[in-house]
Amino acid sequence: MSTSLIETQGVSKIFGAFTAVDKVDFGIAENDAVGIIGPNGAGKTTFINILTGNLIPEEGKVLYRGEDITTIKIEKRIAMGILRTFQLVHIFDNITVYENLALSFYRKDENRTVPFNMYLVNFLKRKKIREKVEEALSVFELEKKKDDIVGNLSLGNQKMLEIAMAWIADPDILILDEPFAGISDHEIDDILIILKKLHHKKTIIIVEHKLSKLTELVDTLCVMHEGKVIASGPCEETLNDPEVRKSYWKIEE
Amino acid sequence: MEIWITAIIYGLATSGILFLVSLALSIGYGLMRVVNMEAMLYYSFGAYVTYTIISVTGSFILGALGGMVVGAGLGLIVETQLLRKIYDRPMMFTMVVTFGVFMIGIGIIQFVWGLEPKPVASPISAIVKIFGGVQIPAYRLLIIVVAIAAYILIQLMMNRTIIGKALRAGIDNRENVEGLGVNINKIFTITFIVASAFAGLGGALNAPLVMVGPYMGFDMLLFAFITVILGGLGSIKGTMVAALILGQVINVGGTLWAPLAFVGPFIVMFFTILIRPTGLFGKEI
Amino acid sequence: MNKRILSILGPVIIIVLMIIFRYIFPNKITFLTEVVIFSIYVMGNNVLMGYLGYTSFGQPFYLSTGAYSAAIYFAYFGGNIFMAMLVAVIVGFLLSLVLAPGLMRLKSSYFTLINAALCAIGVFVFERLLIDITNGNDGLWFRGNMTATPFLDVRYPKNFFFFVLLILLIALYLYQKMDKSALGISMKATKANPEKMTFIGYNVFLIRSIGYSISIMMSALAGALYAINFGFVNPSLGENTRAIEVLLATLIGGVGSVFGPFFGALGFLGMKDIVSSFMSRWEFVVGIITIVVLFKFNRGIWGLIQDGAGLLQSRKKREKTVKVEE
Repeated sequence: MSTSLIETQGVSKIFGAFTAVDKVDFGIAENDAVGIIGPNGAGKTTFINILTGNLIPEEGKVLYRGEDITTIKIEKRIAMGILRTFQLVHIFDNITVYENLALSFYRKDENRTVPFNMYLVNFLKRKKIREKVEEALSVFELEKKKDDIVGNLSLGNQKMLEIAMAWIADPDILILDEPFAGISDHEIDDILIILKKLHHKKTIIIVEHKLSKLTELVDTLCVMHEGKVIASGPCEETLNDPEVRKSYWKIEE
Repeated sequence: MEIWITAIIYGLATSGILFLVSLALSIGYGLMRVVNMEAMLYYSFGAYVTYTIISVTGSFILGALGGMVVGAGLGLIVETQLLRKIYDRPMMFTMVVTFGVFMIGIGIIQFVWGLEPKPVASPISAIVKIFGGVQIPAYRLLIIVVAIAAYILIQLMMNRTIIGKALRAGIDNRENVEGLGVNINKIFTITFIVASAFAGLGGALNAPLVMVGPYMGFDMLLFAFITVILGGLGSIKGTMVAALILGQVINVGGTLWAPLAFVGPFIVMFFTILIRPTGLFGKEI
Repeated sequence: MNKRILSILGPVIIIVLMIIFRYIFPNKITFLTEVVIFSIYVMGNNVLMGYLGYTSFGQPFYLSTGAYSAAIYFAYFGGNIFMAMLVAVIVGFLLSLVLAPGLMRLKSSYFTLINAALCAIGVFVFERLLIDITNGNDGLWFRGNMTATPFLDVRYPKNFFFFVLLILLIALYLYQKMDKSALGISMKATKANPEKMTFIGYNVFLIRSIGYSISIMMSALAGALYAINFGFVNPSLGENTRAIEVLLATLIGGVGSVFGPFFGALGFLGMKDIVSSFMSRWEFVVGIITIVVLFKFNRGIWGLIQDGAGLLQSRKKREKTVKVEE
């Protein structure tokens, strides 16, 4: 798959005697949406940690636009445009929604790791930042919460904000780690509506434990079981794969 | 040659005091993840009670026992009334609160005993000759023996008794141990009382070596901190090893160049922390 | 809206308040000057505590470093007051360059304790190691060496009060800018979630180091002003026992707020002034206040002021809506 934006070739991650990810080949084309599913402990989160650079695999390669990034640091990958959200929300709960978004955008826009040059400028009011943040607020339907301290938001809104923070930095790949975990069905639907807006405009990798909602959103599914990819392809096809039915569905049946 | 042997043995006595006094800090952190700044109150109250009992009865043994009892009593009050209620608050909060308690304690000492430092006479004036003529005050040897006994006692308690086992399991996973029907709070309290009794004993033993004053806890606080930081917060073995190192740095170092007795420990701690940010035996927090 | 008005008018209200106090209590000018200087010191600590989430038991060390830098300059090199302040700030900056690489990697608890140790080393250095330069416990006296400044001769306490007030105004103004700047917000964000900061691509270590540096430079500046105010410096300025004062003032004022430090300094020194008039040692009272503030009062004076303003605002709004309905 030479057309892949990001791909892995036989990556493995071993924790002591336990092989969390076992020789995984994976690829995603630009502007596609892929769902990685599988039961708990299948190695999904470990696998995306390898993509984002949180973990370095013992063997195999990670290629990004054809370039080997296997051992490249997290910060560099972020600069390359690989951004992620976390299973447990990672946001700044002592500042406002607006400030959270501005901070995320500012990093991308100025491409500085330390905001010292902005010391005496009220950067929140700069035109460029304001416009972009307003746009994000409207895409993610957070306008009303703009000046709320993030710690006071509902978990659904916080998840939404985390995705918005990744989106505003205009990543090439957006990796969402269990975006639906721990929130109500109603809130899941809200997030789904927004994610559908991004469909085919962004490369999206979604890791999910439940897949009922996921099939509405992604074109391709990738099923993991005990560290291996046991099937991948279009949703319907993959879910009917005998291997998948045997090893995955039996848990839910 | 003689001067170095003396310095080493004095150093061991210093280590003994440091170990006894630092234990409450280290255990408080190990159990509850609270840096309990008030721990030095047990030490200074221990010393003051010893002073008072000696001036009334003349018996050092009674004084030291009194010091231990008061230290333990204070530990009981502080653990049940304060630490247990704040252990899940942010570190900043607990440190400042316990420091506030420490200040209140210093204030109480000032009201009860006044500002003037009090001298306490050494209970044993005998001099022992070891290694063919090196003269060592027997009292220092007594401190070393007591500290070793305390270390063995606390290790036995941690490793051989059901309390120690439940305790170690409880630190890793509170709910599991409680699920087994063990009252983990009671076990934490008992352990903390033992540690604060040792701090009281440390105060009693150190009273004849220093002047007993309202700020003695403050001076000791710094050294106790260095001991637990160097050893790694929460590790009893680390506290012991750090106390041994610091005792030698203070006394042997001080013999080499007098100011080392004061700055030596800080220098040792600095370099250790820069190389190993969690101390010698500390775990990642 | 009211919050915004409060923050715009804040510096002005503070300065006017101090000038009013100055004329109501003409014999309290030394006290008021100390309040102003102490505010700058507390603001420095607030950068560490409120923005970065580090509690330092070693702020007196940075204060006395600034004070001694100024004092040594006056005693041996020259008499220019501005120069002395500059020297103190530069020394503070250099100190932070040396210390930040080590300290800013530490967990909060270790940071606190290492700072306490630094404080003790500082006292040792100023009292004994540099005794030939600093005169140890006798203190370094230099009032006679200070030269007059143009326009306003700040060697006179009456003028010095206005001088420090001007510095406070500038400091408050810059502080307010910092609060709303990318730096201020990224410091707060770092306090809340350093991992996420790394994940959106910021250099957490450098952000912390800059904050630490600002904190130390402000402390050093306050130290230099203390030195100029007293005309001498001795090691007791940097003692560990005093570390709690600045922490407590920060807490009383309201941690992490822009104008909290000033009210904290005023509240704390005011209380100290009152208590010390009938009690020679006041550790007991400090301890009690600390605990009461932490448990019952944790948003501080500034929090109370904001709540008060919020109440007024909502009452006005209610009146307005009633009128509309009529």
